[in-house]
Amino acid sequence: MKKNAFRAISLVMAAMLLCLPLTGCGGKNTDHAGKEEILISYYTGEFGDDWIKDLAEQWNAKNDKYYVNAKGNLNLSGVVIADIKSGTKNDIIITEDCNFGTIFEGDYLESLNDLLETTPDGESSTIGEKIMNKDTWMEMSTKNGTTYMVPYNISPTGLIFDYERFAENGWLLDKDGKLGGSNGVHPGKDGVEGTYDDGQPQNMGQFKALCEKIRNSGTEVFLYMGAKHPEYVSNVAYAYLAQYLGEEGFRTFYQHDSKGAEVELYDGSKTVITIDNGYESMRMKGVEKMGQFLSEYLSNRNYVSEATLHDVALTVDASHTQFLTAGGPAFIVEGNWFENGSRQLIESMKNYDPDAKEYGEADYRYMLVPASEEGKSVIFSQTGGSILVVKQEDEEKRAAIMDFLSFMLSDSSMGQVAQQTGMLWNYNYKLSQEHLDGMTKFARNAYDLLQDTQNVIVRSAYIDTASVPVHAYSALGTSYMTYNLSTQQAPLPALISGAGGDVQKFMQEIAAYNTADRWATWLSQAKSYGYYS
Amino acid sequence: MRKRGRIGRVKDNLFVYSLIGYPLILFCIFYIGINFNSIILAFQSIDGNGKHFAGFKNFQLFWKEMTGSGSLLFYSLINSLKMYAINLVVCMPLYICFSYLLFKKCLFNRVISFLVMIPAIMSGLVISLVFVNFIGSNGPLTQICKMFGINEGKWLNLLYSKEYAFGTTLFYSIWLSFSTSLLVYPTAMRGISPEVFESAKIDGVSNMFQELRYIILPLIYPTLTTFLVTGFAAIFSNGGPLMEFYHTEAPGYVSNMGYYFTRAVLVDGTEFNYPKYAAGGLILTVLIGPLTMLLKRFLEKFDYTVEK
Repeated sequence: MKKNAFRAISLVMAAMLLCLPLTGCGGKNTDHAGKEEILISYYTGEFGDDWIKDLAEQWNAKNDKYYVNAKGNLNLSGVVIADIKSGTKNDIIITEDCNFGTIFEGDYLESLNDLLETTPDGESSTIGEKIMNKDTWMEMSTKNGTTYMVPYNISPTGLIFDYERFAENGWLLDKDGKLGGSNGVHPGKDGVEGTYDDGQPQNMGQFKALCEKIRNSGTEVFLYMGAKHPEYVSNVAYAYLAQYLGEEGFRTFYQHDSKGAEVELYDGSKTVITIDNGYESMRMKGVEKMGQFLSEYLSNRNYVSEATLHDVALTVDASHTQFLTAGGPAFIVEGNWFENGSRQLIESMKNYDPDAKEYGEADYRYMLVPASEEGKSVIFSQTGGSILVVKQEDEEKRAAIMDFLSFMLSDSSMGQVAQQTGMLWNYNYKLSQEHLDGMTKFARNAYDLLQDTQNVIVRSAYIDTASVPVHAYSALGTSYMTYNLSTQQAPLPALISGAGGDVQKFMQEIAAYNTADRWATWLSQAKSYGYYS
Repeated sequence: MRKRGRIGRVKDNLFVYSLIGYPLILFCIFYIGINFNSIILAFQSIDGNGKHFAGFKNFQLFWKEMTGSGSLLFYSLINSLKMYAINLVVCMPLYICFSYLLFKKCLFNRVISFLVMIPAIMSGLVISLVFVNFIGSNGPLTQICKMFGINEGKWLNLLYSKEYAFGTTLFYSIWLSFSTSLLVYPTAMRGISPEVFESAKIDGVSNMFQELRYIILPLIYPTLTTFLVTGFAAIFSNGGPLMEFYHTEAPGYVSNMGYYFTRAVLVDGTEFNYPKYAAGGLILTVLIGPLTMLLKRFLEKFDYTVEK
């Protein structure tokens, strides 16, 4: 009896052992019986997942053979690469990153050349023609004539403020360049009144005066999650650097090539930067100026609290609550996902404060850092989103995938998502009046800023670095610079924790880490992929 | 008598095989396979042409960085050694004293046991959140500072100030490890026969210190050596609570080797540096492996509970 019981248990356990690996196969969605699945892996984040599920549902309703199933993942580039190399079951991968050059070879990804040539229904431009800063994107996403990535989103991140509050407190510039003056509101860089940049400082003197005025009113000037997300501040720092250096200077900085021109370094010396001594670009005068900007404004204890700099308990919700509470800090360093991510919080605040604004009612805007009066303003994106399609065996399924992407990247779909969440796509697309009317004021301001290519450049460190082989194909990676003691990604903790707030030490740390030896290693890695030969 | 065949023996042991089969497969893949791969990787370099034999280049690179004063790796090494030294000199005596007091059923021993056990019962994430919010700028500790004028009533920036950060992370680690120690040591003490204590009293052991020094410590020596040896072996893999507190943004002056490796894999989006980390792992194993064996042998010499 006992022996039989043991045998039965053994058999059950052995059967379980054999069946265990099969559990990963999972079942099919019963709502789409008889259809084949197209699996999308995407990053959920603060924009949520309703938008992609809605798009999938709309497409699924029209398709008899395939259905799109979207699943949220973190989709960090390293994890995505490992996943693809080991045979992912995802068909489409939507990420906030675009550093995938190392898998362009090896037959892992589908060519998207035909998608770029596709014109969505009812439109006159192809998807390829709609891509913003197309040249940079194509350079980064194309190898041997084949394009493997198309853009996803772009997320301007910077100093967000409540325009109405600024107007009430006299924190806006009037037409005479006077803070809180009586002569209307300055039209901003675009010269047009009633747009997203009205009343903003036009130079650093005015910016300083604004910070002082806010501080003197007893209001904290800047709020951000210095401990949890110091990388948000990097976007403001790099926006300052890019404007200070100008377009050509900034290109020298991240492409590590001054095209024969002499460049001033922080110690006063001058040098010509080529790819062989590219590490010298990290010692450019502008980098020191960026450090000074961080020191003077974003880590200045007169403008930011110690908690903003270092409190680990200052989470996304805690910082949003502080900013949204009456009398809270004047600026929050956040991205265009901020309002959608705080939707529930904004709605619940009405329960505590009857004067609190409804969701979408507040006129939040981006303050452009006026590092230079010349040239265009620069704002940085926290993301450089991309879309990849994993290699397909079945030509019919491949065609269905391309059809879904064409549908998703149509002006109409992008407009629907922009209205729903405030997300900005990295494309030149026109929103219908219906979509524009349905957007929150903040989403509309962000969209206007993105579309004002005459006055504003929206940059992404991900896209910039992914387009430069020494970053994309080496351990240098997606950071403009590598710092020494602190996190290797963000300048703020490198300055505060690494260099104790001392800008000279900050520069010395950068120089000490980014040596000729390390550069030679990074360069040789990029050369092994056929670049710089 | 007929000899049982191989099939018969397999049938007899089917239960055992089915029980250990799955864990064994996991062990082969995730321990043997990965470590074997890591050893090979340490001697390779990765670039656009694939993987190549790199000799000892990765080892040189890691060693140079680890011993180069001022680097993140150097700080991490020093902090790991400091953590073990403090654990050895300060914490272990504390654990033993507290355990002894609990063993002797001191006043409030049940309350103390309960309080110390809380971190072991609750999820690590919850405990770290509670701790971070307790010491946060709006937390109870800041209110206490305000009430008593400590630090001029200002928030004590315990996780980032150079003065307190390392100490705070250390305190948190010690607090968490108290529960394990206060479970294991008193249990070992309770294993000592009551006759031994009675006999010791007759022989002149008259106070608690003497009892601890001459009776308890020698008799729980095997437990002590287990903690010492396992703690020493884990010097470079113990990351402490840094990941819970700082995620990947810990300042250099609190970093340690365990955290350095975890963070490197998370932050480094590329695989180019993996050979360096693999070489680093091997260097640390080569350093710590023989020393652990030596320490074990050395400590065993003083084990009077084993008849020689």
